[in-house]
Amino acid sequence: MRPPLAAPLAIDVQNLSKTYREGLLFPRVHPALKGVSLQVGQGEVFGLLGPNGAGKTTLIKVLLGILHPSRGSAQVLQLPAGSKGARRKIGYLPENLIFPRHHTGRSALYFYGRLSEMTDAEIRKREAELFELVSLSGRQHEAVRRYSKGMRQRLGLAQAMLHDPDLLILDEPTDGLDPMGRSQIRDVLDRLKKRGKTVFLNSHILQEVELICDRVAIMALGQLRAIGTIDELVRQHTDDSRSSLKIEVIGNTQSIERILAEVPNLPTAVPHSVSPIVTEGGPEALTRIGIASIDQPGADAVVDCLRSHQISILRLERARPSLEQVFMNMVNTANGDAASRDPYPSR
Amino acid sequence: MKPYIAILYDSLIESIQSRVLWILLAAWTLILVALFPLSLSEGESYRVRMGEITNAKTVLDQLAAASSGKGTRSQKMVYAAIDQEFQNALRDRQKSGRRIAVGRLVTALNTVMDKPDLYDSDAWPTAERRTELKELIQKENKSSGELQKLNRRLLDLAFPGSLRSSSGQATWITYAGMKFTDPLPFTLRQIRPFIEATLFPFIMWVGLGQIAMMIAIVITSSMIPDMFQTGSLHLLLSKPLSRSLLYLSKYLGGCIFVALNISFLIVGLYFYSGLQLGIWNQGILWCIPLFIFAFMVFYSVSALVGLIWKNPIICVVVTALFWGVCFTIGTVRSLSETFLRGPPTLQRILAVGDTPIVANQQGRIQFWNDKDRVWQTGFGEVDGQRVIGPIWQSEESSLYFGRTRFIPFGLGGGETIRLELARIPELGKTPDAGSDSEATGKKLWDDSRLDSAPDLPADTFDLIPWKNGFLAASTDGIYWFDAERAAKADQQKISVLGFDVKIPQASETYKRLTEADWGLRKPIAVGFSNSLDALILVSRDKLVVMKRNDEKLEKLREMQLDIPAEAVVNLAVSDSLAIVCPNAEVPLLVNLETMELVRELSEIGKANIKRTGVAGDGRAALLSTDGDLWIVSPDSSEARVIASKPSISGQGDISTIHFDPSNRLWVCHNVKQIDVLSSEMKPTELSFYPKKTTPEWIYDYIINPFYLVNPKPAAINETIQYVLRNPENKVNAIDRTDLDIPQIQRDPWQPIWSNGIFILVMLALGCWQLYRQDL
Repeated sequence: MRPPLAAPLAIDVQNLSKTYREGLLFPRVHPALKGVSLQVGQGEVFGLLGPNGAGKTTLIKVLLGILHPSRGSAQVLQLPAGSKGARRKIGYLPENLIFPRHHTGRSALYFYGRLSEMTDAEIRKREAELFELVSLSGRQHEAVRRYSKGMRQRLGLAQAMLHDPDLLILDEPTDGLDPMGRSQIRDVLDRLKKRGKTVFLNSHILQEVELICDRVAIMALGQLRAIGTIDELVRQHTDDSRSSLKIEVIGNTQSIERILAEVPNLPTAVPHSVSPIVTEGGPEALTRIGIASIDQPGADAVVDCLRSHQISILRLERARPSLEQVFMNMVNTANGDAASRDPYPSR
Repeated sequence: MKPYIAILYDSLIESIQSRVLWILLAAWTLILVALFPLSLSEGESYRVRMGEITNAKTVLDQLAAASSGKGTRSQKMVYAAIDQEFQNALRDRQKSGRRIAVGRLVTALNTVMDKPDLYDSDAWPTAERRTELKELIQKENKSSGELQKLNRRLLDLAFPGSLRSSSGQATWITYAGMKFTDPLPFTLRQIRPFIEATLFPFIMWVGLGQIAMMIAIVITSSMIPDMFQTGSLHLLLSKPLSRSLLYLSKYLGGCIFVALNISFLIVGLYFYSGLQLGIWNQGILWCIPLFIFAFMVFYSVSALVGLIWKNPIICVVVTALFWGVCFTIGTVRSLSETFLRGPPTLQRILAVGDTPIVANQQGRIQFWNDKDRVWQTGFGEVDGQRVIGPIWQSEESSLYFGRTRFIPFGLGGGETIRLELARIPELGKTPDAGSDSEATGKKLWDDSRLDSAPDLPADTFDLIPWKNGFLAASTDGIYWFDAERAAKADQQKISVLGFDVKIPQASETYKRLTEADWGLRKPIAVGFSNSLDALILVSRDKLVVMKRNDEKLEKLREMQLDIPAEAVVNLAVSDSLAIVCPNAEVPLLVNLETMELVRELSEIGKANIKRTGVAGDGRAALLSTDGDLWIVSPDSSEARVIASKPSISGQGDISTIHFDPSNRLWVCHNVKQIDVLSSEMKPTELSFYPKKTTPEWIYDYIINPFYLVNPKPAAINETIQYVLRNPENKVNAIDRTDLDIPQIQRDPWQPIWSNGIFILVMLALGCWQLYRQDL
């Protein structure tokens, strides 16, 4: 599962496992990562997807050295994950970032900059640009406790970028942001990508990942289920010859159902009425037909049949399989596999 | 800025911006503002104070007599000047015997103080002969102060012996310039040592050490657990920082908060003490680092707990428990030490053959009971007394020892020392008489062996066997107790509870061998030179050789020693050499024939030698108060004397020593264990190790090990006392002629070391815990 280009690796995870032990007297073991292997090339924007509890944050913590892996190895920018050298080159935005209450936006930036071994002069050089980039210019002297969640998140992103790291690890960067905020973050990531920075993104917001990421990996129950570009995943994990069909026609539901019954070998068509629309001749019923999976000859047959009965087609949409479908397939499969096993074996 | 400095700086900013800090600073400011007007002011006061009336009854009687026209004229004048109400009370007292409180008498006498016409030349005919009073009497328009001074002097003259005369110097406790109390009968100069040595350490330790410390622990308890908020910790850990240094920086950050508070309060107290009390004691400022250090001890526990449980409440509870445990272990240990280590420690050994007779710190004479393996107390269980001797008089088979009588708080003047005499004929005859005597069936320690003996001369400090009796060395001379003469002397018979008790008369039994005014003063040490047949004395900085001439001791030679005059000295005399051991100085070797200083025993260094012993072969043993034993022996090959510290068991913990006639050295260590060493300093088969009692076992194996590993934050109090003490305040040293009195000379910086080690261990545990923890 190497990245497509023969670029040097930014992240190289081999057979990584992490098991949590809870309780002193009767310890319960909970495997959070089970033999995960993945590689991220330098300059890639990589998305890690998975439902809550899939092990995404655990993987990030191992990459940052916050957790010690139980088995396997992880390298970041050719350095052992968690080593000081590796951490020097990483900018990290944690999930649910909390800034100490006594900071202003600016003092927080200075504080984290100093922790990243920057001099005050270096921070001073970067601060204006960064506040501009994350749209906090003019607000940097306010106390962070008065910041909205979006502002805090943007400030978090600014501190992650402050020391110009080679690798940005962002844990749910758009979590809790309004559409405007998300778009701003996307812009920032685009710019980083253009500058050749590697971004490792952890998110459960699929549309966003689809928009930003070069490659994605899908995790479920501590295992890597799929990895590749979005097109690859869609191709590999969906049947490209069949896709959904949505048609909006004029006519009442009963008559449309009768007409569709004439189409040979039609899969489950679910026509249903919607609110009537007003035409020049008076109100007329509008019906939307949705067919989950149909091949091209089938779709042609449906259209031919409708037209042969003089049914007006207002709108027709032949949908392409999405990342969401892939994701749902993966996660459902994983859950189905797990249903037969006890996910929390106790020892 | 280095990352770790950035964390410290951030903690400082966080502290400065925290509301809690400002609330606390406001509270400290309020306390200081409230305290500031409290002051001491010095002035003159001649008013009568409660403590100045030494005999209220006499004064009242004399006033009552004056009311009926008796008594002196001056008393009548005073009576006439006191208010009507008190006059009535006096009359009532005479008629019905109703008591009058001293306080009321004081008030009445003080009303007299302001009367301008109290003086009458007939009533106080001698007053004008005193220059001070003459001036006051003759002066027109006396100020109220002058009037009070005159009247007070007149009162003193009217009631001589019942009223202590006033120096006029007084100190008031004032608040915002207002005097609330009666003046204290001291000057500021006199009060100052009390304030610096007692009051300041008390306020510092209780106010700051206990109360402020608890507040600090509660407030800082959340700092480390707060660090573990996922959102902030993970970001910190993603930075190129070492976990250990991150933890240590956070720990020091917590200390910064407390440092700000403590510095503010103590600097405030420093200026208060300087400006209001006139005491500019730099030691107060030294308390700032000491308190921060004390806090660091507790905070190291709180931080570790915070790291493990991540809960501030648990931090406070565990730290409070830790405090309690330290306090309890310290108290239990010091209590058990008081009972188990101090009093039972053997202070004197006397070996008669193979039988040891010992005296312990409690003043008990004890014998070895081989059957039960215990030290058996004989001749009365009398606690808290000092034993002089014991000595063995083989001709009479008698054991002599002096025992002081216990007088609480030293009341009642000089102590009397009772001579105890026990006749133990079995001991003299057989080398090892054992614990039971076959002849009499009496135990060695049987009380019935005690015979009556007269009190020793006052201030006797040593007994030396001499002829058929002994010499009692006292501060006013050397007395000879002649057993034969004592037996012949008439004995005074008195009846106690119907029994006749014979008491020999002291004057007849002791013969003073020295001149009435022998010119020697305390502290004195005495030794005996066999080869010179002379008594050697060191008094102050003089060494005197006294030779026996008939029944007199005459000064033969004298030498000036270069030692502090007030030093307590111990003396060992070996043939013609004397080892003079002044307290806390290097022992000196003196040739008694030439009366010259041979050399300083610099190999021993400055030492507090508390006990000496001399063997027949010329070796001398010196024992320091630290329990170190030195052997000074003549080196025949080089014709000189060498001092060495033998490696023997118990070295460093030796409480007493004794050379027996066969040159064996009896060494007591570990409270009451005795080893007998041959002349080659090798252990012999003879040893006396008593069985451990249950409390001793608990002390040795439970309490003491616990105490040793347990940190001792309370001991920092000793360091605080040390820095607050002012070397200029010389409190008259207690006249210590007896070095056996335990002298607690602890190193004031020792608690810093021991607690410092504890802090390091706790922090190391914290670092290790953080390193291995998944966060």
